[in-house]
Amino acid sequence: MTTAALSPREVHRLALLLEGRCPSCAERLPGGVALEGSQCPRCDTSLRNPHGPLEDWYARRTSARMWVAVVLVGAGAFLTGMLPLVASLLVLAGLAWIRFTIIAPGTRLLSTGRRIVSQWTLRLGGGAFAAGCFIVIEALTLLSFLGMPLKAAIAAVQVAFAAWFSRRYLAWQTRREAARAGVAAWEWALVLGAAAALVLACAVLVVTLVWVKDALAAAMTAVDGGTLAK
Amino acid sequence: MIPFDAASRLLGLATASGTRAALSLLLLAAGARLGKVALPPGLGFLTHDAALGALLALSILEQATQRDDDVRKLLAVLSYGVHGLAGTLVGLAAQKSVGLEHAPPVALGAAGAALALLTQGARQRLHDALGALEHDVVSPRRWLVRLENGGVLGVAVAALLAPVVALAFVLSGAALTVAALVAARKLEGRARRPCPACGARIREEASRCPKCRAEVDPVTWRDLGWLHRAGALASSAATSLETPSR
Ligand SMILES: [Zn+2]
Repeated sequence: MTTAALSPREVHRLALLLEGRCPSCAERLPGGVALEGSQCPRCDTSLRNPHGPLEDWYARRTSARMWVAVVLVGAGAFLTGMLPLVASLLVLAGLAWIRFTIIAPGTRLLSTGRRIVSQWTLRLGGGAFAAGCFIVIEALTLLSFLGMPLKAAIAAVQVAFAAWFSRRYLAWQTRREAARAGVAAWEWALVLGAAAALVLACAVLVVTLVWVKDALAAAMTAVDGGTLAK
Repeated sequence: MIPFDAASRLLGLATASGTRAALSLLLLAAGARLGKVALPPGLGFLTHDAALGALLALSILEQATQRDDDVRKLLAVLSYGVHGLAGTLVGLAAQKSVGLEHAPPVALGAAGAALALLTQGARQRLHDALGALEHDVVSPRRWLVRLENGGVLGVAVAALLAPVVALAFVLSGAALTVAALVAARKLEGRARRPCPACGARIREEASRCPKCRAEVDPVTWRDLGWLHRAGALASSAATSLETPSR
């Protein structure tokens, strides 16, 4: 099913539904209602999409957006491969593009609980992924000439992976939402565990830095004391 | 008695394969001097004491300089000369065996010399390229310099601060979402118009009033955009590839 076969009015209604709005009154729908295909709580319009499952339309809608990000980030990273940090910022921009054009339209369709789990799963996973990307790309700056094409390829692959994963994950979640499956306990546990691990890692880092600073200060005073005693 | 063409073909092989040209020439000349190799009359000068001495000196020099890149470059002209001479000999020797009896010996010699010089040039360039590669990639000192140039600092800081980077990403993502929510709330109030039937503030895209259920015409029309069309094309192409039977 392509949009070529649809009338402007049908495209209009489908676009509203994909935005998480009622195709008739255009008001924002409560999460999950559009995917379930029940009724608009405001105007009682049936939300069953006559053109096939809404989750398939979501997947179709996001595929080109993914390639736009991959191509732009790859080309940009190739052109700026000599400069440190720019490729990392490009990947970050690519992730932001993914967040607004792939993740947001997907989570908008989900019910509140599933939306929170999905957003935080992708956010925490994205944080760990972004930190890893940052290290890999900056390490490649060391290989000036060899690193340039390699950096572009890796930046593009990183963005492609992030987009692919987000799409697959949200396709899975939208399918489960449409099937009215609940959020599994392990999904909550995963999000809470990842959040706890992140906070713990930051705490360990801070404690370590403070300890190193104190140890250095102690060593300095010991040296000073030694020289003064002589 | 070894005929000259056989001997010089061996010489050519040896030179082309990278053996020292001067050493090969010396062996040929020594063979001729001892009466084991027949040299053509034009090359009789090679059997003289002076020529033998010069070739011996060249072989020793070549051996000694091969170890040192700088000296090798300094004596490159000499090396090209020796290879040119060896090439000339091979060219002359080829006259009988290849069936070019009528070709002038000068042309054959020149062709041989040119070929030998080209080979030598290519080998020289390969040497230099490999040397540069080793200089760039293998040398631990170059890596140390690169690391000292600040790269190691960046990578170390990035690795050390990875949890902070991740946390910053997560927090800014959450902040972005809150900002987007607030903006969406504000925008939700705009893009509205009164319902032509009951006057309730309905969306511009609405085709039905949620209050009085009157059917109205949308003021703003939605499209799925070119990105959607491109994506739909891509995915329909992908599905037709996956299921060619249908
Ligand atoms: Zn409605």
